[in-house]
Amino acid sequence: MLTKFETKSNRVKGLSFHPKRPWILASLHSGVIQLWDYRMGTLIDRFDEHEGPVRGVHFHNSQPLFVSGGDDYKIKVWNYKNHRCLFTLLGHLDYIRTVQFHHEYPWIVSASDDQTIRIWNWQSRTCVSVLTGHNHYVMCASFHPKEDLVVSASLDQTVRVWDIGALRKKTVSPADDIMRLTQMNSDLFGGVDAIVKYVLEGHDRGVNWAAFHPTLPLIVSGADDRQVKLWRMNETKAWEVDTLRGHMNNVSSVMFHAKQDIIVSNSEDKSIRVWDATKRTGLQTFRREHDRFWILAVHPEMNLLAAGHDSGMIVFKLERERPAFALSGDSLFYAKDRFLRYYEYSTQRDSQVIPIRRPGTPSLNQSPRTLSYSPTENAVLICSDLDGGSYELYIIPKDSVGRSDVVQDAKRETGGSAVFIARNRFAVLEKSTSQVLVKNLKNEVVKKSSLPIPTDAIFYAGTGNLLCRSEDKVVIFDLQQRLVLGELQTPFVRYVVWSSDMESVALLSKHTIIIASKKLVLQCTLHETIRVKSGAWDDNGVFIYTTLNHIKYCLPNGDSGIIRTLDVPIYITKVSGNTIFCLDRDGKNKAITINATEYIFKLSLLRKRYDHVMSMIKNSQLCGQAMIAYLQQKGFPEVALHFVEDERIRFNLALESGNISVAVASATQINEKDHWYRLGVEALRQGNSGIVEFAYQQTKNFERLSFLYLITGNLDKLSKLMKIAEVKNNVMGQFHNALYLGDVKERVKILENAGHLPLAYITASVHGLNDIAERLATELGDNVPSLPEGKTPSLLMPPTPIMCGGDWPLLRVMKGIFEGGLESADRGGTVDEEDAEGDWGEELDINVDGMENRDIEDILAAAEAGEEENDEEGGWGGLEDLELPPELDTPKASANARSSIFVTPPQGMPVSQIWSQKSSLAAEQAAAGSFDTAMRLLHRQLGIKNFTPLKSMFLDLFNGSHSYLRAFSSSPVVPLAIERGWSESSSPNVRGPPALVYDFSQLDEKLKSGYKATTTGKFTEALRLFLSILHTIPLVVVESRREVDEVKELIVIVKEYVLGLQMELKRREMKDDPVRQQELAAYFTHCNLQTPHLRLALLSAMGVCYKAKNLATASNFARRLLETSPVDNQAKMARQVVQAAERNMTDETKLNYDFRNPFVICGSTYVPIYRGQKDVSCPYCTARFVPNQEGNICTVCDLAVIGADASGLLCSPSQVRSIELQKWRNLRFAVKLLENASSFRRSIASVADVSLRDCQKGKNFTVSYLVDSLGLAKKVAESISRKVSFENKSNPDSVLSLLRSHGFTVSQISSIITDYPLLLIADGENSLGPKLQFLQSRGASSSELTQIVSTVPKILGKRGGKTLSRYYDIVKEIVEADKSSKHEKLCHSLPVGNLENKIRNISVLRELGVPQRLLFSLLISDRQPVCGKEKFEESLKKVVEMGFDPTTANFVGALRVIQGFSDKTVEEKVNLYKRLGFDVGDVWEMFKKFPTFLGLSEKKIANSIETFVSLGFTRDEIVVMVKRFPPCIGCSAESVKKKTEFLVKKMNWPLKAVASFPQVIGYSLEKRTVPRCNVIKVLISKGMLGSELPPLSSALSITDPAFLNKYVMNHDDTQLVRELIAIFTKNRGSLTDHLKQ
Amino acid sequence: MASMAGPDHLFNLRNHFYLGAYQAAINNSEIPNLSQEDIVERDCLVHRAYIALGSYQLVISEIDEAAATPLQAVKLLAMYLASPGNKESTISSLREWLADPTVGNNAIIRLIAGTIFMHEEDYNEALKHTHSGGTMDLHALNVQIFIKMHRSDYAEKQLRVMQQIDEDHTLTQLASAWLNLAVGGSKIQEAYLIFQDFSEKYPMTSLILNGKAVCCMHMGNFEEAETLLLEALNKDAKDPETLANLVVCSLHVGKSSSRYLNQLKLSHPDHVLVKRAASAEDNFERALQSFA
Repeated sequence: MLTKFETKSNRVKGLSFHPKRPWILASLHSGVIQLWDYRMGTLIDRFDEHEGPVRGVHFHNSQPLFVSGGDDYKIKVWNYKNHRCLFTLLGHLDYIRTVQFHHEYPWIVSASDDQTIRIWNWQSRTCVSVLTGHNHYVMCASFHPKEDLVVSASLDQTVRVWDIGALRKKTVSPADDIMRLTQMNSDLFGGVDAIVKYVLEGHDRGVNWAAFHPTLPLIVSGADDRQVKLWRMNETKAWEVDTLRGHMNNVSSVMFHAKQDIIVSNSEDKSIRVWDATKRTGLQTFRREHDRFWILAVHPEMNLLAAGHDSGMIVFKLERERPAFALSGDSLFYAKDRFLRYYEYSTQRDSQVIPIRRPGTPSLNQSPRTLSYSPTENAVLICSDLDGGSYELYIIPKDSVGRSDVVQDAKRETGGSAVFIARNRFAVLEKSTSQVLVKNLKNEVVKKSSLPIPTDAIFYAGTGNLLCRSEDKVVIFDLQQRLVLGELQTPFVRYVVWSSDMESVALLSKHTIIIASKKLVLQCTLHETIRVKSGAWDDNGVFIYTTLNHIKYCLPNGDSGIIRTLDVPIYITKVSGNTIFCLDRDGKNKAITINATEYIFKLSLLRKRYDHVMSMIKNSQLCGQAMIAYLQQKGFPEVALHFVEDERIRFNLALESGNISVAVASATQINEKDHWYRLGVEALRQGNSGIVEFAYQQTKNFERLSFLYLITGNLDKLSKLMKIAEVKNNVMGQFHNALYLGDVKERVKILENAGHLPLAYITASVHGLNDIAERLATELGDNVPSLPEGKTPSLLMPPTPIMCGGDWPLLRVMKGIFEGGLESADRGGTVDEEDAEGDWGEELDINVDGMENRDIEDILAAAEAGEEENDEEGGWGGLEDLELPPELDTPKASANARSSIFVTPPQGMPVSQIWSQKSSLAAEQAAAGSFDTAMRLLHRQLGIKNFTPLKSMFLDLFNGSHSYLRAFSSSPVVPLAIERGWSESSSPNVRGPPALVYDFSQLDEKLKSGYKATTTGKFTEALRLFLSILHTIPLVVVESRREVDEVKELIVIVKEYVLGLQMELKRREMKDDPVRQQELAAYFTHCNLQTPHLRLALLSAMGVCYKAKNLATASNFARRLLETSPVDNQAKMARQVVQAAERNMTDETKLNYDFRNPFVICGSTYVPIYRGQKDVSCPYCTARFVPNQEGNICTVCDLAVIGADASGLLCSPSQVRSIELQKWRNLRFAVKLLENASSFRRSIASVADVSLRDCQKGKNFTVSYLVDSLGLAKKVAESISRKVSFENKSNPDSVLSLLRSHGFTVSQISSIITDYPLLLIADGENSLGPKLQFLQSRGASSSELTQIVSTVPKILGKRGGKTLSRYYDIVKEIVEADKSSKHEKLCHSLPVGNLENKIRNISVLRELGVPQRLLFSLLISDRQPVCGKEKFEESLKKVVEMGFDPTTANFVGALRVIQGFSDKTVEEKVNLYKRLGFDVGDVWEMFKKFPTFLGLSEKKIANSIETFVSLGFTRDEIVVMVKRFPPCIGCSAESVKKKTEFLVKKMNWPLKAVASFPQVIGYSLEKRTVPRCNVIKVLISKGMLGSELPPLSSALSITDPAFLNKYVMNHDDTQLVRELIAIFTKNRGSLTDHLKQ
Repeated sequence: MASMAGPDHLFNLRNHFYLGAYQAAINNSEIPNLSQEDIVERDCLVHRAYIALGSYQLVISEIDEAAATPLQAVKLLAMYLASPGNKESTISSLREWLADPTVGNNAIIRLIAGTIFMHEEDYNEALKHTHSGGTMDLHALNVQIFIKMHRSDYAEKQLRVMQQIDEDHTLTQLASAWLNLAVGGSKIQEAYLIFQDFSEKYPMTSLILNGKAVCCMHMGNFEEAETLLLEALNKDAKDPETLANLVVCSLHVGKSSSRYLNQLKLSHPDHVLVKRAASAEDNFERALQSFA
């Protein structure tokens, strides 16, 4: 129970919530009705007119009314606005128990001890119905919230439901007369329009309360029998559903909760009970010590309840409504219902993440309290109050937003609070011991630490730190150092909100907000009268928070204000600019846009961001007295000035800020004496005499004015003033002015005019105005005053002012930056602004000093405090150390360990060594540091011999292959190998290839800059760049085949440039040899250059030749130039040359240059090598040379030896794969030959073995034939002889001559035969000849034919006619595409149809690295895998994903199966195998070994199985066999039978042996099994193997030579050996013979 | 699992030292209320920090005959590193010490022995003294030795011991970062996270920055690595690892590395990178000979 509000008073008998406002009415036993604001906790009003207890009270839901009923039999209706009772309804004859307004009609229902229920119309103030029927006190009566029903409870032990439909009808169709009549009726005869619908009997004692369910047809009642009963009703009847037992005394009141599926009841047993309305079980009980409960009320809208008891009442909630949430960057995780949800602020996307509670679990107060989230690990900690505080740890799966409803098995444990303190660590509070446990994500305790204060909750406080809360303070505790980092006295802190930079923290208590720094240094404290709910920091460091009814801000200095009001409480989760994101009580995310202007403005002022302030003043609507007051209060009157329209305030502010001009303007507007005066005073203070004068003038303050003139020396005006005084007849003023002016005459005159003749006389005489004095003397007559003797009179003259006119030096008034800034901004000037800033600068300094002083004190204080603490803790430290036995153990253990024998493990293999073992790419070898290997590779591949230019590349590759890690201090650095192609999923401990410092894209860049240098004519630079490309390429590694082609292209491009530029540079050296110059210029134009460069080359060649008067040649260049569509001036020049040449088409000198004859240029001598002439080329850069250069280092690339043998550039692992495969095959073959040779040598040497020779004879003939006639190498010939063997040469001869006659060269023929030996035994005359002729007849040129046939000899194996020609075309296309390496084009150039697909698919496979051999066979075949488009791609993808190696035949096999069968078929097949006893994993394994097996038909499989069964294998055995050797299921029944029977029946191997070694089913009976078995038989018969048969596997699985070694050659008896060899070899190939025996 | 009680006064000092904030370690070494044992440990850490900063002579002169055994060992390390010419005598006195059963068991002496023999690339001898562990430093050194021997399996075992003692210890975290880097693959990311954690928790040091940079390089992100390293260079323009890694990084981003390489050659002629580069050059010439 969460108590929100509590009052102390007399016994509370009635309660009613206001539907909208935070008010509650409580009627007391004392007769008083109290109106409380439960949110503010204040008593708003009291109504004291009832006599005796008031038991019923109820608010009207829309009018400002409430009704009350008391023991004085009175029902009173009150207007709470007017604080008075409107009227009283009389009629009941006993205590009134309850009163209630109808939600719609102007009715009140009341229940009374007079055994009646009455319905009143409060508008007509009459009783409209009396419901009689109860025969004891009616304790309660209430309207149904929707229907025309009333429920009542009575001490007569019944609950009654009344139908008031008739009453409503009457009222709704009001004919006044009728109504009056009914009223009369009802008064007289009792309620005929309200009839009892149901009487609910079941309680054994008087019923105190009955209430309807707000939506369902349910009633709940509570009675003195201590039971709560639940009733259900329908149209026709009502019945008891269940009884809730548990209360120990009379149940006073019971109700359904407005929002939750629960029932709340209270009782005189001093408890409130909460029941699950569905399961009808008690959920919770709240007891009070001394107070019996009398009444309950449920808030109609909100989640609030109220209960009245003997000494007051309480307003409470059953459950917290604040959703637990955790913020992480742009996302919010929060708990709602039983799910963890995720909200993304940027997209406002809201989604469910995982369920966190099982459906249907009791939910009261078990919802999560706090959430903590670790973004890197995607883990969530959810704390709840369950089991006195517990937490659950969930790891959110990666593909998180799952719809699954399965609750994860969370790691759950008790603990006060749990919070993440690092990426993968969280802390759990153990309240009992005030200890904190640090755990990892497996929920294992990693560390324990006791906390410095008794803590009841922990919060996050930065990585590794905890904020611990106790009743009255918080501390930040560093878990690793075990140090208190900061401490602050606070009220009980409920929530902790850190700013995003973790520099500031807001501690929210119930009514207080404390802002502190990260070390808990207090920054400000804010008190709120209303409860603080939530808060978040905005981006500017302003803390935005909510109370129950406001969104407010708090500036860093503690200034706060309201942003807006709220209808319902919200929980802020994040503030972003003008948007506040929050969760409401229903757990919905909302974004509220606020006007942040005010606090941003204040913040800017605070931060002295005046530019900001200024722009805000100019651009936004800021106004209001509050803002002005704030500005004034904060000392910014000059800013406030800009908000004010009112002139008086403006004037005041202007004076305050010393802004005279504004003040003058305002004063003019106001034009009041007082204001002018104040203006004058301020102006005077500033020294602005002009304004002072103006002000005095305005107020006509002549005295001051004249004094001002006096001191400013403005005598003219002074005398004018005197005149004015004279006019105004102001004698004193006139005199003053005269005095100021020193004008004696005037003074005398004034005195005289004023009648002060004696004075006038004295003045005149003293100042020596004798004539006047005399005149006056005569006028005075006898009264001439006597002048004192002995004194010298002097004229008092005012001093001359130092400065006359204009202002005095102005007092330096603090000139507002705003003023200056605004003005200057208006004027667009900046000078003023600088000044102004200077002014502020000074001020700032002072502030800073002040701060420093304070800070230092703080620090000193803190340091002292720290020392004290340390003292204390040091003392305790010793004690605690003693309690730790495990640490004592440690040294002992280590000592033991040390004495035991330790063997250092051998060193592992350095990564670079692994690299150098694995790789066959030069660059990778260089990176691994195996320079010699790298060089050898380059030599072999590219014929490179001069490595000096590559030195820096080698070293860079090597240096770039390792990074350096400083691990332990002072110990050697650890070099770490950097691998290429890292990805998140690369598995550790598996070494990738080295990261290389050169990549292909860099070369592209270089090429571009090379081009640029060429264009600008920086030939040396360009040459350097191109050469460096050429020198880098051998050490570049690319991934795909396509890139390999690109690299190869690049070599050629760059080579052309290098050659061209070398010639051009050479040409420039040869100033004195014009002929050679022309030649070189001419050759340059024949390098394959980019068009712009070609143009330049042509232009230069044209110029050179033209100058040398070789006009014909020049005009040739000019024409070529014109063909390139050059720019205008080039074209013009070219045309002129052409014109000039036309006139005189001759050459002055003879050049070694014939442009009509195609040529290449020798790379070192720079002479043309015309077509047909012999040349040699550089194996690397492909530059051509005259033959005598052979053996030299190529002058173009400066690397390779001209004419050297080389296998070609190898720069991609994909290339390497296929080559390795090739190599491996060769190797295997070689090994076999070697084995053969060695094992046979002995025998052949010792015995003349005729039969062996016989066997070899055919082969030998073939070999020698091949070697002789085709010049094949012996090894190659031998390999061919294994495929085809013949003993006379007539057929081969005819084939070969046929080929020769069709123009095949010797080398072509040998390659054809090598690829397709069967051709040798083909029918030359009848088959081959026609085919070739046919192809020729279709227009194939001889060269094309030979080329294509030699590429794909198998084509000749195709049927003639259409098929042949079609395949011929395809091959032609591929071959051509291959040459130009433009596969994309292929598809477009081919005719439509399935061929298109086929070709494209095959080129895709080719890219993947499927060997040529398989490709062409696929191409030629009409079978599935390479047809179709989407299907093909799909299948290909599947097969690649399954992990088949494209270079193996299985890849194609798998492709065939996958494409050949639909998913469904495959599934069926798998199911079939499952039925046969395989599990899916087996099937998969088998598929990987032997893809075709899935393609077998069901029938075939069934047959096979049947065969096996019939042979006597058990089912299990069959399964194992198929697993070991999947192909066995595909063998024909006959073959299986034959082979098995042979082994079992003839050889007497047990069937089990076959079952355990099923491979025998795959062995050829004739070639392998029978000969070996014969040998073994003989041996057994001679007793040389013992009586036992050797294991089947050892006899049959080993290779032939091994078999011979083991069973044949190891006998000393040469006779026997010979015999055995005879047996072994003789029967090979004649199975039938054997079987006959 | 470590149960803890009372503040750990040397925590900061140790952390500074492990994370390469040597000057900060020295500056903040005046800690009141230390026990006798703590004082010895403190002095060792401070002097080791001086050694790490290269102030060998200062250490040699400050530690006199009367100092505690562990400090003598630290002095030995300073002498070893200060005068490579005399290392024979240093090693022989080290061996004498180790042979003495009363002092030979001291963790610091064993640690120093491990370090020195590691420099000698005599891992067998180093492990003889360090394999049994006993302190976090020793275990961490073992991890490093095993990594150097390319035996990440053994290193992992050592690391597991450390994790059992205190999983959150700075050295445990560091050691697991080392190992993660050594085994590579997806573990690089974990190493990066560890350094990232450090950079959030503690002031940046060039050691942390280098750690992050090395992770970036191994993940193929050379641009970010370069930024981090330049930041490290700002902190300490002479840090050998920063320079070495900058050399590597520059090579990969296609910039010139010669300035950093020359700087490294000048300031740390003995650095692994310099040595490797020199030996690579010889290697190249030798390989060239075979083709001449």
